Amino acid sequence: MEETTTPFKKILIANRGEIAIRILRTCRELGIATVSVHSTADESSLHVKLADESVCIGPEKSIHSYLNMSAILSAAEITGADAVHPGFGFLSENLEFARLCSEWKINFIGPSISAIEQMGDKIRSKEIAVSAGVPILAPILVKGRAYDEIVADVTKFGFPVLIKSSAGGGGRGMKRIDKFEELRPSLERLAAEAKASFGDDTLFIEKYIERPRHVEVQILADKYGTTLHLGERDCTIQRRFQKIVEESPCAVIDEKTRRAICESAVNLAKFVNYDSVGTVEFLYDQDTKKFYFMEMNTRIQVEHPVTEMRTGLDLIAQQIKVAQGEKLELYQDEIIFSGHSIECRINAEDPENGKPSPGKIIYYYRPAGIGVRVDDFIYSGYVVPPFYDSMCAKIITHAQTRSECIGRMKRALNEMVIEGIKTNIDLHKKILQHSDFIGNNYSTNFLAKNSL
Amino acid sequence: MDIKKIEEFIQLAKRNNVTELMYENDGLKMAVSFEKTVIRETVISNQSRDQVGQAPSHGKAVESKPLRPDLVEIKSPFVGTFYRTPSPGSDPYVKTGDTIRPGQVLCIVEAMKIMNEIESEVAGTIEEICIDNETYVEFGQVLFRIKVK
Repeated sequence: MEETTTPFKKILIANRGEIAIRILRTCRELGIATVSVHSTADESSLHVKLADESVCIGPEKSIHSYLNMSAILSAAEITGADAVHPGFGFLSENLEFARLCSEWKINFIGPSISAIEQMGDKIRSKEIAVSAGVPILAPILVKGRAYDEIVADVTKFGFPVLIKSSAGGGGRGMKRIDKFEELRPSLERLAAEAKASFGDDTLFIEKYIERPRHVEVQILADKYGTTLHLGERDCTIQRRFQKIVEESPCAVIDEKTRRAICESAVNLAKFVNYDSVGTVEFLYDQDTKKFYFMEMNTRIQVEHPVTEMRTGLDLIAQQIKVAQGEKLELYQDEIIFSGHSIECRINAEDPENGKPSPGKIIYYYRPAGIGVRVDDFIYSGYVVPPFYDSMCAKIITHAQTRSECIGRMKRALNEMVIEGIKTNIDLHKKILQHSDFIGNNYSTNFLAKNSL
Repeated sequence: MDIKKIEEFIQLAKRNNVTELMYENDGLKMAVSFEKTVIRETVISNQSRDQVGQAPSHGKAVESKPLRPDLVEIKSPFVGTFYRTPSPGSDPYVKTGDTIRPGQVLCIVEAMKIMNEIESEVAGTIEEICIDNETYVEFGQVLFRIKVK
C-alpha cells in the first residue's frame, strides 16, 4: 500500500489532567496547535492554561462534559481542529465516539474502528486471540446456560475461580470464589451490579491463578503492516485491581518467555490489523511459567512512560505520526532497551481507606534530578476537584539496574511534597522498601496480603 | 492567641518562600498568602477553607462584570454556533430593548448541525446581547442579560 499522509494542523485533546498535558507537550514539539476542552470544574486546570485554545464543554460531571461526544465534536468543529486525541479513560476506547469522529470527518488518534470493535469486547477478543494462536484462560460462559452445566464446568477447573463481567474493567465487576455455596449468590449479585453499572449483565468464569503477575506488552504499529513491540511492563502491584506501580523490564520472566510473550502480542496485533499504539495484557503464572492473554487496550496507557524511558521513543509522537498515515521508520531489531524504569502513580487519596481526597493543594514540590521524570498537572494553589480520577502525578525513574532504579524512586518520593490533600506517597515508600518487592517475591495480591 | 505567634507564622511562610501557607489546629486556623510583592495576611478562626481565597485563573476571560440584582443572565447550554436569526437574512429573534415573555425564543445555538432554540426563562426586557451573530459559544457562556420585570 502506498503511503498517504495527512499532517494534522490542530489537535483537540479530549481529556484532562496529566495525560492532556503529556499530549499537549508532544503537539508543541511537533508544531501542531492544540485545543483543550474542559468542564466548568476545570477552568483553572493546567491543561486549559497551557493549550493554544480552550473550550468549556459542559458542567462538572464527566457524563455531561468529558464523555459528552457531541460537545467535544462541536468544540472540534468551532475551533477547526482536524484530529482528536482521546488520551486514556473517558472516550478513548469508545467505539461510538470513534465512529462519530469518522462521520464528522475528524481524525480519531487511535486504531481503526475495526480494531477497537474486535478488541473492545472481552469475550470476543479472547476468541480472536485463540484464532491468532495466543494462549488464553478458557472462560466458562454464564449467560443463557443452566446452573448445573456451569457447576460441571467449574468442577473441571477446580476452585478457586474468578467471576468477571464482560463489560467491566479496572477491577470492577470481579469476584474470587472459593466454594460452591458462594457461586450462585455471587453470580446473581454480579449480574445485577453489571447491569446497573455497565448496562450489560454478561458474566464469565475463569480459573483463578494463585500467584499471577500482570505482564503487558507495548505495541506500536502503522497502517502499512509494520507491527513492533516495545517490550513488556510488569504492573503487578495493584490495589483493588488498580495498578499503582509499574516497571520495565519484568524481573521474573526469562529471556525465552519474554520473547514468546512479546511475539504473541505482535501476532495478535497483526491479526486485527492493528495500526496505532496499544497494549496487550497477559496474566503470567509464576508457578507454571505460562502466560495467558487477558485483554488489549486500544489506546495509550497511564504507564507508557516506563517504555519511553527504556526505548527513548516518544510514544505520543509515534501515535500521532501513524495516525497521520506515516510509515514507521523503525525495525524491531533497531529498538534498543536500556536499563530499568519504574513508575509510581501518586493519587489524591486517603491512605487509610483509599478513598479520594480532593481539595486545595497548599504547597507542591516536584522531585527532579538525574533519571527522574514527573508527569503531572497539579501546582501550589490548585484545587483537586472531586469529580474525576484521583491520579495527580506520576513519578518515573530510570537507572541502569532495578536496584538503582528503586533507590532513585525512593529518593524522588522523599523529595516530593504535596500539602493540603492526602496522598499515597507514603504507601509507595512502604512498597519500595518492602523485602518482597525488592526480592521480587510477590504477585497481584501484594497489597491485599501486606496491609501497608 | 498572641500577635507574636501570628508574626512567627508569617515569617515561616516568608522564609520558605511559599505563596500560601495554612495552619489548622483545634478550631484555630491561620492562613497567609502572598501576591507578587503585596502581602495579604489573614487570620481566620473557625471558617471553612473555601473562604481563604482562590488561585488566580489564567483561563479564558471570565465574565467579570458584576451582575446587577435586577439582571438575569441567559447562558449557552451547549458548545456551538450562536445565531440571532431563524434563517440567514431574516429578522433577529430579539433586539436590545425588546420586551420578552417566558418561553420566548431568543436565539439558536447550533451543535452538530442541530438547531437548538434557546428560550427565555423570565419575563423582562433585553438589556444586552453579549455575543455577535454567527460566532462560537462555549458551554455556560453568557448570551443575554435580561432586566426582569
